[in-house]
Amino acid sequence: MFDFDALINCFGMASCAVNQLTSGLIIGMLLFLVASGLTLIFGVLNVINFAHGTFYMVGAYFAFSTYLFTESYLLSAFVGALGAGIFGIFFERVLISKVYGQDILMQLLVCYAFILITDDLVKLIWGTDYIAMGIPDEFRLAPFRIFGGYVPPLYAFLIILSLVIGILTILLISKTRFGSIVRAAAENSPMVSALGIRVPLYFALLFGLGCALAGIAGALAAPVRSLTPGMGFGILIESFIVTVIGGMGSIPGALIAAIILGLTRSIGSVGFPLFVDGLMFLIMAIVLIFKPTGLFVKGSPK
Amino acid sequence: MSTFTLFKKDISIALFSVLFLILIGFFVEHPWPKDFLISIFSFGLLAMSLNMLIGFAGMVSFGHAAFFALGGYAFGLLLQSESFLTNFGALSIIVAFFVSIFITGIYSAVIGAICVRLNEIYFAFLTLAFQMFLYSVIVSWVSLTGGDQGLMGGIARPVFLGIDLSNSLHRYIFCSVIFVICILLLRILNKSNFGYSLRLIRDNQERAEFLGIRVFRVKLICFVIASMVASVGGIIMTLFTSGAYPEWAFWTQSGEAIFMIMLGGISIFLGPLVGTVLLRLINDVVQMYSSHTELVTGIIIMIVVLGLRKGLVEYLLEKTGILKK
Amino acid sequence: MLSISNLCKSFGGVVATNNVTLEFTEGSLSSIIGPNGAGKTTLFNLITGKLKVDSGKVKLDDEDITNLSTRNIVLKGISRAFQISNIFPSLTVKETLMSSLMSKNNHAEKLFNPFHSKALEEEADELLEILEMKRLSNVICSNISHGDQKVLDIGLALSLDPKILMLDEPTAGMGPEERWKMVETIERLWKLKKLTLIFIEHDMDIVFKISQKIHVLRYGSLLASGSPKEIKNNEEVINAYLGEDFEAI
Ligand SMILES: Nc1ncnc2c1ncn2[C@@H]1O[C@H](COP(=O)(O)OP(=O)(O)O)[C@@H](O)[C@H]1O
Ligand SMILES: [Mg+2]
Repeated sequence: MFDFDALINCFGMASCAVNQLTSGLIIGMLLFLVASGLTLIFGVLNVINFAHGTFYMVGAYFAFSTYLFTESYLLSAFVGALGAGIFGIFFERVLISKVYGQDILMQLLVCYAFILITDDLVKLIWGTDYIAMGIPDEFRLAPFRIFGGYVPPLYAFLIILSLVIGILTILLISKTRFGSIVRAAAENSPMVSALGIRVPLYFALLFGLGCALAGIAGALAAPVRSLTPGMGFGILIESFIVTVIGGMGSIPGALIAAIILGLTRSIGSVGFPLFVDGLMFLIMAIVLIFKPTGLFVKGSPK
Repeated sequence: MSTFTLFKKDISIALFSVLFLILIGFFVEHPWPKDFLISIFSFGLLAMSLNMLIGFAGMVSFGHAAFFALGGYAFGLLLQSESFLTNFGALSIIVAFFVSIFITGIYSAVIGAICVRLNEIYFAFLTLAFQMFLYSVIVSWVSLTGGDQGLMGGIARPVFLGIDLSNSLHRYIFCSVIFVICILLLRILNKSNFGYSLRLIRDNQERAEFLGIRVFRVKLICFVIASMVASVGGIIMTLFTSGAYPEWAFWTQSGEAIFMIMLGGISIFLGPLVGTVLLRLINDVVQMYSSHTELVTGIIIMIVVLGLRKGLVEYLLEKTGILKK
Repeated sequence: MLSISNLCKSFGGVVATNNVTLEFTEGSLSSIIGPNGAGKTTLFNLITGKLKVDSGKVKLDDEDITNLSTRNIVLKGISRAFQISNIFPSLTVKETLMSSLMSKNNHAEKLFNPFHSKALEEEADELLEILEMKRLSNVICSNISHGDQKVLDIGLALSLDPKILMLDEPTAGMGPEERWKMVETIERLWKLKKLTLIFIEHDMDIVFKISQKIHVLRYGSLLASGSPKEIKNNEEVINAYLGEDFEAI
């Protein structure tokens, strides 16, 4: 089960170490995008979007189809994000907002049904087989050489872009008018309504933003992962683990936790492939026992 | 007074039901009703035990099927093990039955100790996450569990006390008896002091604490018992299919169980059982007319949840004036 | 005797309890008054284990009970009713009382004992009699009037057979008539059960009529303590809190 020799060997060789670190960072950054959407929606609406993974999937498939037509990776990533965002607003307005404030049982069922429906629709449109998008033409370039390891330009691009998107999101929430309205409404929505602001609209936009973050993660991941109906569920669970570790509602927390998890995954795949999931859950359990609010949030989750 | 005399009425109803189920076994030749009923016993226990969490105690778990699956896998694995069978011989089935329930109890106590003290949303998500953990263990530990394919190759069913579980009538009667005992157990728990402690916690956890209720402990006990009953459902399924399958541990199984409860209504004791039957029928009908079962099921759930906003059974009872709002 | 010494609690920047030292002698009836936000409820929360204290001590008959769990405080004989009545919406009035009696008898974790037993029902009936709520026995709690909910909340606290009973604004949200009825009920229970009773109250008429001792809180600190007479004549209290209202008494 454990292969420490392989682990030590890998870290003895710069090339292997660099490869594992980059792949860990990529996993982590994509996870961060999905998790930051989840944590954003929770922080403001106090709703856990159990269907969040669906928007990751939708983003990936939209991007794939766009790429088939336009052969532009950047454009397809944009379409993936936009499509997931609009789909998210639809989901919020038409379905989930109808059960806000109700029994959590109702929210669970709406999400469950939504996932079933969307997964089946994806099967209808794109088929049940695994789809590979492949490395886009824009990025068929010679890899960078770093410390004896090779880093494909696409990977470097993914890591940097995710980071930029994360920073932009934080700025959007903390510095803009949109952000301050949303934060105020999260604290006291009747008060903000009384000022003549259409709170439900802002909530829907925020929900859409959260889903767009999941969507762009899916779209960006399309060249490096294979697409399959139901692909959203695994990432949902992982991004939940990220938000538990980082703290519900905290985007910086999500970033750090996602990187921890990404590195665990990539390093684990060399040293203890069967135990990777177990280790992730173990980290989560330990955080829950000793600091149930997550590492980067004060207060208690009660 | 002993528990026995005080629950006379419920015990008599249980005895009557067992008799009735056995009569069906003897007098209905066609295998379909028996097979259908066994699957109702199995998934009915999943739904009923989940309702002990959701309906009795207000703990909305989204990962209850994990314990169903664990029970089934443990039972199947024990009965596939040569050394286990040689050790316990004719008693293998009985020992495997109790050991599987016990293993599930221990596992659920660990999961419960982590999850039970968290708030509602966290609880739902964490139980789900831990279920997916079990799922990934089952799928990736191929040498033990058979991975994606499930536990294949059949299980041994040595004859004990004259009961031969490879005989379909024996198996049916055995499952009926176990099923009714579990339902009776849930009924007694619901009407007992403990059941009222759960109601206190469901209605108002903080006030319950100020009445001196040990909330964490009561919730944990509830979680463990519910998980153990779910594992019996899994054991019945393993007996029935002579194997165990990773789908049991997949999250959709828990979603389905929640929908069963919702269909039948959480406020009626046997509601979840009615919900189980309804969902089975819905599934069968949908499968007959469409290959897109998930799509259709999803739409039906949306209609029930957003249209009725309560269980179908509760809705009908209220419409007809039997159940007061 | 319940005594608290140098109790402190703050929430972020807000100091809700500031170095409060107080004593409640056995069998006394005391009230705590002070404007909204003075820290009265917080004081109750600290004593009953709902909040952890920042510093200071709570003692019951010389035993240190600071920061014990809610349950352990209850077991020591301190129980409370809440400012916003805090009951169980799906149970009937009688079932509610039966439940808390069950908990008091330490039967809450009995898995196989039927809840509806003769002994428990009789015990609950007795309590219903004392609370004068017999007529509501079988009504679901969420359907009874606000005033009755308040009485039931007190009844729940009382059912635990406490030595010390703490009531947080028992007459809040009631009309004048209902108020005085509640006051009568409280006084009656106090005498009947020989309780040490502490209550938070805004209505000065009530406070001055029934309290033996009055404690005045302001901005989390204790402003004054004394008999109704002493408080009435305390300059600081008059200036700071009672003001014009007080002249009217
Ligand atoms: N749990 C809490 N978290 C944060 N602030 C609190 C909390 N409880 C009370 N406070 C603050 O402490 C102060 C005292 O509150 P409280 O004890 O409820 O006053 P009172 O009961 O005298 O009206 C108030 O400023 C209130 O906002
Ligand atoms: Mg108060």
